[in-house]
Formats: sequence, C-alpha cells, structure tokens
Amino acid sequence: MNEPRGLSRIELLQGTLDLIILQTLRWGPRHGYGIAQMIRASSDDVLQVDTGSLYPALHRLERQGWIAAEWGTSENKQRVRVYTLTTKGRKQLERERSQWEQLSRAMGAILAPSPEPES
Amino acid sequence: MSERDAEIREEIAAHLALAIADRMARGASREEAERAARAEFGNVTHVAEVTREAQRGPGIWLERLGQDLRYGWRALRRTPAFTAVAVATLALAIGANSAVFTVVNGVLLAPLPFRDPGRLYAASYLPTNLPFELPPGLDDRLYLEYRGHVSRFEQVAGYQRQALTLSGAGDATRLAGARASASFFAVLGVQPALGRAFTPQEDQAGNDQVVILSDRLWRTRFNGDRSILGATITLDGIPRTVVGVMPRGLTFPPRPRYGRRWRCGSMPATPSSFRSSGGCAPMRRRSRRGTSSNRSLTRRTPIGPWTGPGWWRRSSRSRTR
Repeated sequence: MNEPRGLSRIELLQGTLDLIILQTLRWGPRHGYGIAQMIRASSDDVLQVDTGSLYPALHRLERQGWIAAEWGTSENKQRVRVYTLTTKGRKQLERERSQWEQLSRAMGAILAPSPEPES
Repeated sequence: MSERDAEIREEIAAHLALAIADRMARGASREEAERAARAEFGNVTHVAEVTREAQRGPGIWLERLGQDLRYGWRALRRTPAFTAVAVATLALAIGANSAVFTVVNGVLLAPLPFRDPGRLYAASYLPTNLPFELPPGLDDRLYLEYRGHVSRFEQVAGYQRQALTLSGAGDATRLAGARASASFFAVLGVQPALGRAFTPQEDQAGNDQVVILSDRLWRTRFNGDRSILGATITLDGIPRTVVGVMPRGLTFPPRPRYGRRWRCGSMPATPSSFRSSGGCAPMRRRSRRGTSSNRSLTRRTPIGPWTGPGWWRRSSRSRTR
C-alpha cells in the first residue's frame, strides 16, 4: 500500500467526533469522503476516522439538525451527499468548542510538570 | 430496501468511488485502488446498518421489537401443532402453579388470623405420624391439669369441635362449631366485633347457654340484624342466648366451610366432676411473652403425673385438624 498511515492512530475520545465534524464543516459544505480526508489531513495523519463511526455520526447530527444534507455532484461528476453546517450547528460548535477548551486546559494543568516541586 | 437504505448505500458507493479515484490519481492501478479503498472502508453492510440506526435515533428499539414480534408470530403460524402444544404446556404449567400456590399460601404461608400466632401452641398427644394423622384430643381432665400449671404459658384454653343443628331460623341447618372455654378468645387474641366474649362464670355448668356467631352465619341467617344480641336461637333443640358476633372473615376452626358458630360449652369445674366426653379438643395455650419458645419446646414431657401427652408446635393450619 502506498497509503500514508498515521504513525500512531489515536482512539477518539467519546463525543469528540461530533466536534471534529462540525469544525470541519465550518470551512464549507463537504461530502463524507471529503470530511474523512480533511480530518486526517488536518490532524497530520494522526486521526483516522473509521467509516463505521463517521457515517452514523453524520446522520445523527443531521437528525439533531446541526448539519443539513443534500445530494450534489463532486468535481469528478460523482453524485455525492453534501453536508452543510446549519445555524443551530454553528451554535452547538461554539458550545462544544468552549467545553473542549476547558477540558484541554484542565488536562494541561494536571499534566504539566509543576514549576516548583514540593519540598 | 427502503428509500433511505438505498440513499445510504449510494452514499457509501460514492465514498468508495471517490477513494478509488483518489488512489488512481496518485498512480495506483484500478484493481489496486479498489482493493485498497475497500480495505480502508471496512464492512459496507455493517457501516450501512449502523448508519441507518443512527438515522432512526432512539426509536430504533421499538422498531426492532415490532420486527421480532412479527417474526415470532409468523414462525408460530407456520407450525400450528407446535404452537398448540407449547400454549397448552404453558397453560397447564401456569394453572398447576397457581393451584399449588393457592394451597401452599392458605396452608403454610398465610399467618393464622390470630394475634401473635407465633406464640400459640396446641397441646395434644404427639401424633405418631406427623403431620397427616390427626392427633387424639386431650380430655377435660388434662385441661384442668394444664390450667393449674400455667407458669410456662400465659393462658390456656380448650375447645372441642362440634356439629350442631340450628333450627327455628329458616330451614334447619347443620353447622360446624366448637365448644370452647371462656379463655379461648383471650388466648387467640380475637374479640367479637359485636357484643362480648364469654365470661369465666359461663365456664360453669349451668351457665353455659350462651353462643357467639360467626359474621357469616349472622349475615346469612339473621340478616345482619344487630338485635340478635340477647336473642335466643335453638341449637340441637336447646335454646341458647347470642352474646356476640365475631369479626368478618374470622372463623373457627379456621377453614371457610367450618366455623359458622362459636359456642360456650360447660367445662367441668373440678377434676372430680370430670365427665368423659369422648375426648375434648386439643388445648390451646399462649406462651408467656419473653419465654423463649425453644425453652417451652424442650419441655416436651408432661407437666402432670400422667404420661402420654406432649406438645407440638402449631405452625400451620393443617396440623391442627
């Protein structure tokens, strides 16, 4: 295989896939394959989303009204289902992003070597 | 396949087509690209399935339940003989179980309808073949002896089951009843709902022309008329005065088809006036509060000078019969 593979694939944290999908769609409408490729590219090949997680997530987000889908045509004339971020989805993205930032700050604080070790 | 399933299939096909095109653009052969794309994608059917479930949301389990039920129903319809046998088996098993439970509940589980039934003992000769053979009853002499040795028991009462004929109130009818000592109601911890229990004076011969009715007899024969108190009814041709009516549902002996009537019989006042009546009833005794029942039970030998009678703990209704 001449496929570039992530050196170490990381299991996605529960619930982070939704955030990643919403964030990816911020840059414009995209089909499922495009989303998968973009996630992989923008994570420097570390995150590789399993299609068995991606498509259920896309359809769930659609049911929740955070993304909308319609059939369109790709650059190479392939009929594809294109997903767009809705206004509701944009708000949800902001919420999830701030939650994520809190979590990541907290994790950073816990894991950072303390400047002054207790003596 | 529904329209939505077809849509998901098409979406997956598009994903594969794009992946193949990508790989071919990077120089892979069509065959190689197809194989790699499929390998990367994974199981198409599985992905389609989980996606469909995500689409339907939490309602999915109801849908599945419906499917299972429909499938089960069709399977049963296809094999009517098997279905009939299975249903018959279930029906029989359920029926048998409830029948057995009804008996077990009535005989073993339901507590006696008396106060503090754990402290009630029936004194009798030890039955040789517990619990299916009825023990012989004690006689009046033994009752009097026991009554003189009440240290281990709070109170002692005697009764004797009797069948009597009620006449003068509609058609003559045969009733099941019991002749009982005045302490009987105190021992069982029940009191008449109407009127009063027997008094010690009524234990004396000559004063015993009093009777207590069961609620059912009172309602069926005397229309639940409260003026029955003090009235006279005829039992076995002898007039007796009604002094009380027991609470509803309470019968003695505790079996629905018996126990229509409670009656005070004369208990001989002294051993010398002992009168053999072919065996008086088992004695009922209530252990003293605080006396451990184990201690009471260890004393299985008779208190008096005679030999023969012992105690046996009354733990179920069936054993007293």
